[in-house]
Amino acid sequence: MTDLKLSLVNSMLSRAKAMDQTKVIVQDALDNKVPALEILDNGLVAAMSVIGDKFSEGEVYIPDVLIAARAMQMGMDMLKPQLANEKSVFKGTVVIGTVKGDLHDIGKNLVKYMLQGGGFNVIDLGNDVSPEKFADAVRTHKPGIVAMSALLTTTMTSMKDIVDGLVEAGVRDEVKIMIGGAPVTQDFADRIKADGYAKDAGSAIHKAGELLGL
Amino acid sequence: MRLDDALKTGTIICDGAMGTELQRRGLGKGVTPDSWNITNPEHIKDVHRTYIQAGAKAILTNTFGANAMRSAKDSEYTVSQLNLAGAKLARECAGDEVLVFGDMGPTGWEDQLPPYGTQPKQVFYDAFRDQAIALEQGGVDALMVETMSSLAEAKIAVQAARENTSLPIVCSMTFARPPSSRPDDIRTAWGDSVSDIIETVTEAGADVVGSNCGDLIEEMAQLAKMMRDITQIPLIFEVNAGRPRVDEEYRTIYSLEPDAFAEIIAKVVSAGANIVGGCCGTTPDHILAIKKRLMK
Repeated sequence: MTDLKLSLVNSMLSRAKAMDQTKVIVQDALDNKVPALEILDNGLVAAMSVIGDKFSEGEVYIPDVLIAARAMQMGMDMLKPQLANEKSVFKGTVVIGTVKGDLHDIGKNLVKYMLQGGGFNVIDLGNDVSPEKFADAVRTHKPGIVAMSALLTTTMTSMKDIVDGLVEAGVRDEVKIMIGGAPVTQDFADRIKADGYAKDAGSAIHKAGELLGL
Repeated sequence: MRLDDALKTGTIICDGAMGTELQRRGLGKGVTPDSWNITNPEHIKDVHRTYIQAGAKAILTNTFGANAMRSAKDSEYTVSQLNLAGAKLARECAGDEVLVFGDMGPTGWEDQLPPYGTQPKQVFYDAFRDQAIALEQGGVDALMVETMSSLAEAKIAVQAARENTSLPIVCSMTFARPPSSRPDDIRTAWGDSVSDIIETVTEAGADVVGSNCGDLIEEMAQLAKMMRDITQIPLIFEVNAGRPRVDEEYRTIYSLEPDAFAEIIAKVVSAGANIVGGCCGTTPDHILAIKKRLMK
């Protein structure tokens, strides 16, 4: 299975050829009767995790992640007919959003793609998301994790408002909260009583798994 | 004064941050700074004037996000209104002696550009074109495409400015910190290298290139030298006042004091920069410190 993972890492990072090559590899595995769940877990999800690590280490860049995410999505669509119960393949649900006052989507999107690629079901609330909207989403989707992003030091403080908002709504203890974004630090996460901090989209996969005890 | 004439007179000192100065004057969270061109013009003029008093010979209009894909998207004002107002306020303060750069920031949608996204390039082009035209109408001396992390987006912005105005064009990119294993491999977060950037943006029509904002502070001099080694065109550098952090009261702190900041700028000038100023967290005191340091 290491071979499948490695060839998928190569195909998903091959930029212009990523879609075609990934399609061939997934189809080949299906033709060889590799179970779909195995192609997903040990192939696509494992490959995305490697790509996340490469992103963290500065070996690949934002466009690589965006293209790999598209290839990953296509691969998952190919497997869907054979995944009997789609929900059961998810590692957990994450509600994600850029916090109130902040309109920056890209960093949050990268984390979303990484978490989807890492096997999580991700509910994206968009940007400029209020504490009330986060609390409502927790009640509706019953996620394991609430993930928040901010690019600006001035909007980072909205993260505290949202943590406080979840406490007030009585749902704080039902979820783990993880935060990230350019100005965010572990120290800040500790201060606002978030459960975790990830310094980039690649680390976010590992942090999410850690918070859910996977 | 024209930009090319001003460049012949020596190093041009540019202004410092607009956003953090407006926050100091009461700009609230979630309010777009561009809207203040219309709702609070006195504050905008006050920022421009304090920078000019401190020694800035070039100022940027308060129009960073005033394109159809960013703040103008949900604004009650049009792209044309926001940019015309911003250009006129700056022009009024600058007079004939100080240059006005029409500020054009990123759309914030660069992950939607093909091949990874599904928004047609034309949508980006149109957004930058409309902003550039309005800024020219408002009387700016040059257009400054800035804080660009994606070369693909920067190229479209420069082309739109070049093909629809007759103004000189400045293109300033934002770089990420290189991985510790490859300290000299300075690139944008989108992976664009210094040589690719210079080649692409000059071909698209930029007259000045350089860098602002981002993770690099002390390393900006190294970056200026890398650029100077491969191009003879004028270089612009606007540096943040350090990397921001948030204190116990959740206030944003920029650690670089004016004198230490001016030392970094002096190194950037020695490395080959022609236009220098401040980005996030800088104040009129930082600009004054540059002026004093460069007169030494």
